[in-house]
Amino acid sequence: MNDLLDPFATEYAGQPLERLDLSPTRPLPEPTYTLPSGALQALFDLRGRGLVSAAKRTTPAATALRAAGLLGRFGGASETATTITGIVERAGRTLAAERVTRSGTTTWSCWASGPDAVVRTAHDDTETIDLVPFTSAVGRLVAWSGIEPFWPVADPDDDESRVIPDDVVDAMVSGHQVDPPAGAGPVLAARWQEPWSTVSIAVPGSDDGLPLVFMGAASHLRIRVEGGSRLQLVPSYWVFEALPQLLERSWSTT
Amino acid sequence: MTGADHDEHTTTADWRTRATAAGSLSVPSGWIDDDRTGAVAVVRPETPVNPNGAFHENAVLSVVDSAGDIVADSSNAIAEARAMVPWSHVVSVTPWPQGPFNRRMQFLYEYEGVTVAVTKFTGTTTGGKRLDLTCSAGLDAYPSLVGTFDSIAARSTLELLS
Repeated sequence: MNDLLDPFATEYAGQPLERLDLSPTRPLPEPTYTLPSGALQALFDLRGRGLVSAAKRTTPAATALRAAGLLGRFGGASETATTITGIVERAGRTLAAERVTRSGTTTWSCWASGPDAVVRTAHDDTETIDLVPFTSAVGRLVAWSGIEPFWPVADPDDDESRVIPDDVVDAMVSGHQVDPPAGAGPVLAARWQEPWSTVSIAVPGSDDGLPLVFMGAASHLRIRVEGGSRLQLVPSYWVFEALPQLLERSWSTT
Repeated sequence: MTGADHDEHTTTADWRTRATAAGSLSVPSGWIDDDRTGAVAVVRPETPVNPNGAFHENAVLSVVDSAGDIVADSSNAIAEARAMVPWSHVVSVTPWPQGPFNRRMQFLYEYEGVTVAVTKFTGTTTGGKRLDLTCSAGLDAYPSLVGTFDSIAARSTLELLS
């Protein structure tokens, strides 16, 4: 057997297909600032207020903001901090995402003003802040969401109409194994065993969004129906190309 | 298999043929030849899609050594994209059963603060060589060009003469 071949995908796709995990993926660039949760809000609360109470100046967030150079000793905002808060205040476009994996929920928020953007992620008691071009924010969101290559092979004759109850999705995402649905073919059964995660990308203030369920790298559009969700297998190029369409639709109506 | 079923957004009248050593490359009529060397052909829109963009979109047709078959060539193409510095991300790899190409890969990379999106078509092997078509655009312009990139690959009648 050729070591480069993905035997499972090759068998079910009926053509030789390479393994997609042989070369290492590049991790996302390190965030510029890694701070305690609530740091961005604290930056707004403390900047430019001069002598605020000792209690406010000594919170973990305030201490970290000073250590990061975003706040001066007496609470004055640095030039970078002023840029960050200015972009958030002036933001003409905002974008939000939530990713849920076995290790919990991470939120991703982006404020864009012209070509510049501020991105904040929050997970447990940690918050990251980046000041990047808006296109970098969107590109990195694609990687952060887990949109990456997989072979979207499906079971023959599978109509994907089965409804998966939400508590099953929640259980699988949290790592509690639930058996595949009755009648699942071998391809869905194999995918089902992979680690699950959910990602939802949306424009705040709009009811449009891109709700996804991942089984390993395999992306599924989550279609809410009575009693749960239908999970429609969608290739990663489809998700990648749907994201700017979502932004265009949402921002043209808000 | 969910196939690559992209719409073509441009009508036949809007296209021209660029003759190359590897056959005819079909490009939108508003695209001009670039004089960069080192490739079989380089083409780009005469007017950038985003005049304020930091990256001028282009398509590069190359003949390169093959690793033996499409599985090996695609594996190498994925590894090369993932090795780009300072950051890159491979988004998709899809069979592309049209013309001289066999795979369509999409990836992102960052370079000097600019995020570039690429559709790369990897060709089948003939005589130890293969054709590559690499279509690049700034991520802001890419959504309006992705269909054009696919059409260039689908419409061109290219072949490698062994």
